[in-house]
Amino acid sequence: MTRPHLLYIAFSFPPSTASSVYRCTAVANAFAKDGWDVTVITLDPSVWSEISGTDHGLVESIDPRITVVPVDDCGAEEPARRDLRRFSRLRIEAPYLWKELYRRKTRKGFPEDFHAAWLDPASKAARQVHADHAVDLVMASASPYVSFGVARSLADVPFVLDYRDAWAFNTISGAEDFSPESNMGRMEADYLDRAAQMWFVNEQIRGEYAHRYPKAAGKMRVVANGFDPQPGHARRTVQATDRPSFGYLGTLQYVNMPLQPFLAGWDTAFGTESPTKADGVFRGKLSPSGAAPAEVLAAFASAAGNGLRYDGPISKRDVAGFYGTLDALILLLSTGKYVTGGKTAEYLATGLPIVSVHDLGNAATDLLRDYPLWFPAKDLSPAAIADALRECAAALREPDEARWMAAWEYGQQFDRSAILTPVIAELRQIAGRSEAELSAGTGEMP
Amino acid sequence: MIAPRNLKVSIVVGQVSHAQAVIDDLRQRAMAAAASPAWAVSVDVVQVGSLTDGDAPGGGEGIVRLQAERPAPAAARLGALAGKPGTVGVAGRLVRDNLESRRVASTLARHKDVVAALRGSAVVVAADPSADRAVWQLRRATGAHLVHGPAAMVHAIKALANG
Repeated sequence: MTRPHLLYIAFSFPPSTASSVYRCTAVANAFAKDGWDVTVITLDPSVWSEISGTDHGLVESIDPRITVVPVDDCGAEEPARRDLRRFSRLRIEAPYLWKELYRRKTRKGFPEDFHAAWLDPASKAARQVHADHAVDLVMASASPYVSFGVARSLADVPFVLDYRDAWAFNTISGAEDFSPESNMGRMEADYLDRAAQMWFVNEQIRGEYAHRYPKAAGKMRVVANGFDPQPGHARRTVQATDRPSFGYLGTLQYVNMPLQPFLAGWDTAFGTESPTKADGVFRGKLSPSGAAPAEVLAAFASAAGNGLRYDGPISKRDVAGFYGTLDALILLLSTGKYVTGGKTAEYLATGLPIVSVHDLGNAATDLLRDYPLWFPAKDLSPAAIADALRECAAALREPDEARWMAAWEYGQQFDRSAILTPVIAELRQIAGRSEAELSAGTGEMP
Repeated sequence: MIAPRNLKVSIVVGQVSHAQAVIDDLRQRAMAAAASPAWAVSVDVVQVGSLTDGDAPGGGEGIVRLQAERPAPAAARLGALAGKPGTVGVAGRLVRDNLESRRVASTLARHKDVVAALRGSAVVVAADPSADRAVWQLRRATGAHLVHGPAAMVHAIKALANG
């Protein structure tokens, strides 16, 4: 098969700024680069514009050979829509009650709150794509997991499930959402049995899935998040500084991230009582929805005197320019042994010093441990965070050129194309083969 | 040179902590949303709440402050119920939030001049859930975009500026 056809089900795709977008874009581009015809089924961009904002600069990063088929949400994002003219009287009078009734209504076709409403329209679009140009392989990216349901809408076409994280348990708290013996667990096992392959972002999540569903373990792959070189990605000449600029880039999951201890640690390290001064710039969304929580805005407003500020979201296409203005990076992550963080690889690729403000039991530590410019907070107390910041500032006063060079070289191994090339080569062997032809459930490659 | 067209955005703020931070954020995003020089965005703010001594009714700096009506007698008891777990807590929050949004909406409705100004806006945005009803109840009185929160506000401004 010289030019196989991939149908990629990605609920989030540019211009969406949802967290999975960068991986989805990179995967679609990598298939196109490998010589596949690629069709992407995704949510209509106007819905993203309304619920969380868009980044049209990101559209430029889509390979022009890719065909994008937008599909209306058909109510899947109704709770996130904030056009008050759409609101019923019930939603105004009793919003929790409205949401619960709506949740129950949407779960009828697929066991996922709200997003299940996307199953029918997206499946219909998938069948139309297949009728127009026969599909050889379907890849579905989660979350939402309704994408997996859409992947199964084409009978006898092999499909791959890109879990990224986990469906059966919470990757931050580790709490189980459903057991393998439950109805949901049995349904998931059936998906895994029928899938040609499934991807996870780290070994910790893959290992837990292999433990839960041993029959499918052979088909489970770790496809780590990498970085996608953006315009301007280049090694910077290191310069000594007495007032370093620290930066954070990403979506601030403030409920789970140790933001308050960080702010206190920053104040200790660089506040009015400290002889050392620094600047700290946060860029990105203040919540996954793009809304700005009042307490976070107030926290930044009160920290402004200490050199910290929030400068709003930034286009993905401009991130290299932002990194170019910084001396060091702040890596704030939620606590959890399954947490790698989408931005970790991107941070590493900058070659800049990284101050880690996260639990060192996180999966991210596996990537950072050998990085020559890693300054981890020993724990999440303000004192430990302040120590890490000070240690980094001290290194920046008299930077060691060789150490900076080693950090840059270390970071380039996380280029996403290097990660995706071997797994896509493997999938070429699967494309176009029926389920019967594949060794379903054993994980053995044909 | 053609003078830019005015695009008036009104922000309605109800009971929210750190109100000034929320207002500043919305104002900043509104101004940035219509990047074209063909449009001049102006932002007015109406804040309905329990004013403190430092908050003069009438406001200033583009903010109109309205003293909210007195809370219902049962408000304190509802507040306690709302903090409880389970069904009781959910019911408590439902009633508490419902009464709060009614308080904001009825306070606003009593100020006809302010309502008239809102009706003349291109976009009216509720800054917090307690302001949703006050904005929603304008739906038959104006053709303006009536939205909640920053993302929907920016979407509406862009739709107008690009349309």
